[in-house]
Amino acid sequence: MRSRLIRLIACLPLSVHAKLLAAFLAMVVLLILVGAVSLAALAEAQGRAEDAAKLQRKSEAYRQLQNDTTAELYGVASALLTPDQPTLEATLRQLNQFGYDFDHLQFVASDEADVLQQVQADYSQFSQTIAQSVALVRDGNVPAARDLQVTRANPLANRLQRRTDQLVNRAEADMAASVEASRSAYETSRCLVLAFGIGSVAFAMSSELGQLYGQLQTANRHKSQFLASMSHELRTPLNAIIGFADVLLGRFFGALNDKQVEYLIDIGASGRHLLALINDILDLSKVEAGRMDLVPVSFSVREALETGLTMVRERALRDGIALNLEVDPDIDCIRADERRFKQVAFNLLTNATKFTPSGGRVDVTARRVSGELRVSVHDTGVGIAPEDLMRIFEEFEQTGHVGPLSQEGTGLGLSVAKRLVELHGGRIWVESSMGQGSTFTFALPVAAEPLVGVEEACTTT
Amino acid sequence: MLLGRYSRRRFLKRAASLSVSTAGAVVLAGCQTVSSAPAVSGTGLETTRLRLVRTASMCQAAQYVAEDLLHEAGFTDVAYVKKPNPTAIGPALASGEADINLHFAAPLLTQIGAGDPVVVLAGAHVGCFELFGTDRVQAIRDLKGKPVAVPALGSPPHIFLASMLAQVGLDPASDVRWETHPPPEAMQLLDEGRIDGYLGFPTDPQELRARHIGHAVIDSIIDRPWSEYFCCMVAANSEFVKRHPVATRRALRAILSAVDLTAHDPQAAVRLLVDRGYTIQYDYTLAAVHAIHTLNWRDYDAEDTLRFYGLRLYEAGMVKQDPKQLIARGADWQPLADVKRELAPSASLAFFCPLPSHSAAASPTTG
Repeated sequence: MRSRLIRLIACLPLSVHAKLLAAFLAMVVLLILVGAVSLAALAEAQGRAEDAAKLQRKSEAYRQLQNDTTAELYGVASALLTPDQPTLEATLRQLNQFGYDFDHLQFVASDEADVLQQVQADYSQFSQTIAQSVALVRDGNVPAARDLQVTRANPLANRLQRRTDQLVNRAEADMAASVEASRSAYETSRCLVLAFGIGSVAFAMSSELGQLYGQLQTANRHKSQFLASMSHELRTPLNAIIGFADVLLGRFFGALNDKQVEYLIDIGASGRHLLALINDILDLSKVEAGRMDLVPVSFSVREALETGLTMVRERALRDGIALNLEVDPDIDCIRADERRFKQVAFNLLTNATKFTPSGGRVDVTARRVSGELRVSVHDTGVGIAPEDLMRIFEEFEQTGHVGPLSQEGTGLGLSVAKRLVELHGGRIWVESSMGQGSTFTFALPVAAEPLVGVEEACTTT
Repeated sequence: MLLGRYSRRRFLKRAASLSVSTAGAVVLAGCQTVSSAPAVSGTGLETTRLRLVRTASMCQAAQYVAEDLLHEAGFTDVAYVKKPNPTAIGPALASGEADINLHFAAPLLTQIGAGDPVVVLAGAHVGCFELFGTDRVQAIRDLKGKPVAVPALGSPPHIFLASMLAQVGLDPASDVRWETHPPPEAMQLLDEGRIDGYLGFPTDPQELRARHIGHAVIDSIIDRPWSEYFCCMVAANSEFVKRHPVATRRALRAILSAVDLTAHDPQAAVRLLVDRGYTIQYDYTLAAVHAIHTLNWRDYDAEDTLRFYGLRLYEAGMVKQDPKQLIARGADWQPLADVKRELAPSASLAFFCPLPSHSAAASPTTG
């Protein structure tokens, strides 16, 4: 499981820094997610608290109505026992209080209109009955008032009480449901937060992650050491080999026979090939390790491309290949890593001259298109098969063309060129068909990045 | 089976007259003439077999009275499965051993909360249980720290009493000392003062009153808030209801008609029960039936009953779900809505229809 995980992460086409950054970002995203979930739960809880307060007000209003119903019955009973004017007036005044209670009920329970209608109907009947009872008492007809109280007022009061009990129960049930929902939401949030927390801690403290991190660190250290030592350890002897071969070929130490000359030429060529391969590998490693630092300077596009053409002109002349350069007049200078720009151009020109037969031509153009500087290298060479168009930008991949030309290259040139262009925030692509030649184009943004493409007066060449 | 002086034919006539669904003169006409059996719906029954539970409790008296009505409704195989006490009703409904039965509201809710396949269909009667206490107990709160007898933990008396304790802020799990005793033993212990509280279902309260044992602390027929809610409700096995909607409706209608009939003519109903051997205690049963069936089930709200007891049980921690969840899971009011349209309000009938006169000697009183 552990080695599978490591292999999986190792297979990802990202630098170590990118992978570590991705892991860090994933943790940050998790934390943000936890925060968002918690906030949502809090908002829900707040909503429920407000609902609970509303329900509480409703319950109180219903209970007040019940209390006043009972008080009203008590008032009438008192009036029957002591049928004097103050008692009767107090009983009638109580009916007004009843009215206020009902108005308040309509205000706090506005969402229960159907039930309130029933309550209102019962309340109207009850009020009328009480008023009738009081009138009968006033008229001295106490037995009739008593009878009305027992046969109509009491049952109406019971019914009113039952309806308001139903309303109170409903409000309390809603509150209980709200509490239950809050508890459920709290438990869900708690589980989520605990799961995230435990998972994060476990993940961070797990031996797999620890070992993985250790191995990544070790691999990164080895890579850095390799870059540091190979840069010197490999190049130095190679330079010596190439140098001594050149010195011997210069006949500074005596004449050479044909065989010696032939072998010295081979030694020099092989050494140079190996040196180019090492340089490409080191460049690629630097880019992957995030150690390739661009040095942005302002330079002339025309002059940089002319330098590249100069470097391939000898071979082109030898093979009878025409070279052409065309730069838009409105393109003057750009700001980029001049050395790497030239490296990319040189790589494309080398490939173009290598794969163009005698009598062909290589055209280099530089144009501004949609805010980009586009440099195209077009050749009239053999072309590239469709299945090779993407493959050629991968390490150690070359076209399917078999022969001495393909053996010349390291198979890394285009992948290095692609990395260098992408480091500048640009892109590179090819358009080609078999027998029709190829056009390699790389584009660099000229407006967005201050690092590249900000056109200013050329200060260096 | 012999029915005694109240003949089956006259019984069905009375029942039929109660089922006429018009008012006024038509009701009067229904009392005077032999009307046909209640109109049967167009579609036939999915099953003619119906199982109910039979116990000694007279809270479920109406469903025994309903036997003939069930036959008239088309059920040819009506059986009452004998069980020792009402505690067995719930498990019988859940297992499917019983299809439909009267059962107590609070225990039904604990069953629904536990996930049992039981569904409440309607309310049958308001109030039946009474809490009796010694002189040391004048209110429910006085039970705190005292011994209280129940047939078993989780039995209907235990659950009802727990909800009442929660109503007054006591913790049923820790504030009273529960002791399990069968009802006759519990009544004896109450008489001796060795327990302080006992909640009884008919005919226990009637017997306690007759024997002057303890005093009624709470009478759910009179005392609020319990007098505002159903005690016994019609419940059924969920699968039965799902597979047999027509049978469910007819059975419900027969049971509610029997509730009306029992309210309208309690003496006749009790006579039927004695004659068929459901009880041997005529006087106690008559007192219980009189008390239970004075109020019209149509004036009370079944859903509100579940809500009320659901709140109490939720507060007591005896159910985990809130009342809305319990009602959503375990109530189906559609059969009742259909049946209500077919059943006439029995209050008007009680005014118009004189009771039939019984002949000869009074029935023997035993117990």
